Amino acid sequence: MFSKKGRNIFRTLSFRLTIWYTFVFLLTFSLALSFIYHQIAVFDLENIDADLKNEVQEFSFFMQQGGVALVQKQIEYESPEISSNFYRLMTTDNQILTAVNIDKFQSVAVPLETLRTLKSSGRHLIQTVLTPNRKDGFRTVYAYLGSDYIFNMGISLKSHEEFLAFVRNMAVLLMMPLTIMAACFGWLLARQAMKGVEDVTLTARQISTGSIEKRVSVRQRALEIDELSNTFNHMLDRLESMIKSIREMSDNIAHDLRSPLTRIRGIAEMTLINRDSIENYREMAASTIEECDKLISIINTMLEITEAEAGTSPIRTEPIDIPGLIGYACELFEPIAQEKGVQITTSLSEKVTIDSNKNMLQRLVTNLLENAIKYNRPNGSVSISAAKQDDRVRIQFEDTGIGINEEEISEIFERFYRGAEVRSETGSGLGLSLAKAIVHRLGGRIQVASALNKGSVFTVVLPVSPRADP
Amino acid sequence: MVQVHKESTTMRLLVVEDDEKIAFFIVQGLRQAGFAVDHVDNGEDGLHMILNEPYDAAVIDIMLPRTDGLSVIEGVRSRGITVPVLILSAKRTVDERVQGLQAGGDDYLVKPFAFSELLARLQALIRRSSGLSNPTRLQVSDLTLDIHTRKVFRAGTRIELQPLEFSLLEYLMRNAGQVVSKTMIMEHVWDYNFNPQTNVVEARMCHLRDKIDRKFEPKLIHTIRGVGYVLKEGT
Repeated sequence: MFSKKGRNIFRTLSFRLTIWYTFVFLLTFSLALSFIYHQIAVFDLENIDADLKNEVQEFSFFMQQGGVALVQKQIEYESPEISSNFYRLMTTDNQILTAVNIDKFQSVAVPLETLRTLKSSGRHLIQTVLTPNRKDGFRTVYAYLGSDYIFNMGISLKSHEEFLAFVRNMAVLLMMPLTIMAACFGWLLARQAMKGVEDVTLTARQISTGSIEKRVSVRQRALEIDELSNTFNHMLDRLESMIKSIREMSDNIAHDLRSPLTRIRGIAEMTLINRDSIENYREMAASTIEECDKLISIINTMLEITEAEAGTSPIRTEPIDIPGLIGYACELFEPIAQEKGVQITTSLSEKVTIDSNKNMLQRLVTNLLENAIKYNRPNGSVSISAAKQDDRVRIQFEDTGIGINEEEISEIFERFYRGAEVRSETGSGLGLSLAKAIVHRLGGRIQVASALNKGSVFTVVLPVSPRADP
Repeated sequence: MVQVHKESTTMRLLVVEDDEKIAFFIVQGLRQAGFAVDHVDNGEDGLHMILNEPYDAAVIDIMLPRTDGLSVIEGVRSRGITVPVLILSAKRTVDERVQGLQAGGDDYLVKPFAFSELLARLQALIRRSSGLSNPTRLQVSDLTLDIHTRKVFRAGTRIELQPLEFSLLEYLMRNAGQVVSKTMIMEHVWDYNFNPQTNVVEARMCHLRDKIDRKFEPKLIHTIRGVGYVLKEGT
């Protein structure tokens, strides 16, 4: 992945997913950490406050037991060596009676404002005094001892601050490895998720170098990936069958074009070698034209089939009188039918008009009619019926011909397919393919039912008006 | 290759076609048919020639060096020149046809084509543009056909024809002396699209011949193998 040339890693989905994952992880982690940090800070401060209150209670107790003298004595026990706290006993008019450790704290002047608040509330008051240098900040309590004295005590916040600083440092220290871990984990997850996509890409790449039969394996990964793989495989199946049919078709075309070309070449060569009479030269020219016409006809029909199948250009439609169109076709083909001794009968509804393409319909009808006559038995018959059913028209061509055997029935609409029984008849093997392509282009369908040696029925069902987008 | 003929009695045609061999056979054929033919192999010269010479019709290929056929036609029409133009093209889609006709072409012929068809179309174009009215009574030798009464006589004998046979004979007589191809009959006589490899035309022609020629001399309908049919006196 990293080694792939010409691929910018920063533009990969995996990379973006990793970045997102890491970012979201860090955000969540930071939020959680700040919350915990805050909780710790509050908790630690509450502990300090609890200590302060305990001390207040203790000294209140001393006050009750031994009056101000005991209190003073107890305060003096708190020697600077063992305690980092300061103590102070004041009268209500701000006369300091005893003070211990006060020198360790700067700016511990008694704030008059505080005393006033204390006097109005009458209870103890806990405050945080912060100095510009946070480490020298302290938590302090003011409380009445009896009604004449005010007890003031402060606990340095130094250890509290140090503890919090430690927690902060720990968090920052943790952040680095966690970020890296999150990124790695995110990368792994993203790679895992993208693995399926890469399989598809890999298969596509293999296919573009020629092996169309390759498929992406569907391994029950994520549903989306499986769906992608399945869709991709379906597309490949379709492509493969199309390529196969195109290959077959070009083989067939090559074969069908080669035969007339061989005849042209052969006759021309023989004529030249034999230095024949002018009559033979005429014969050569005439047969060349005939063969060329055959070739042109095959090529044109192929193009028509391709155009109808591709359905790219819109079809021009006009109202078409179906009985009229069929009747005219029968009239045109009557002499051919006569030659073969085939009777054409029609059973056409009075008036069936559909919106369709005249050229295509004419070709469709004559192709089916021609087949019905050509592959009929002598003195056989062809009956054509057309009737409207709801918003469709059903046209049926029934013949008493040789029929189509079951194995061949699925093949007869294939291009260049010619039944074993009829190879001797002239024809390109494109008539039914074109008929089918036309019917599909016009939004209808074509079916065939056949009994060997009894006859076939071709049924065409067409919409009365073409679908907006077939 | 530019050749200018000065005779005023013969029809003058211009062929604008860059494929040497195609141009050769068109020019050859048209001269044999009695036309005075000029040929140029590019659009620029083509436009120049049409603008400066009074042609009776022009045959213009679409794909041409320098200026393409459509532009030539547009150029001609934009200067108000109404000379009939027959377009030649290798493209056969309906859109191409429409494009050609919209540019100002009068007719459209797809390659490969039968020369007889080119000739017939050209003659039809010239006939139309010179304002000759269609005769209502056609006669070739002792064969007469009246378009209004739809009666046909051969050597004074009334001949009964089916409608399709009548229209076929009418077309042959209108183009008497000209070879008409199977596709021309399909398109112009019956206006029906069917597989040109079927022998629908042959079978019909056989019936017509039966009625027109079998009991009479000289034979009038002649088959030119591989090309088509011609109705004329003598072989």
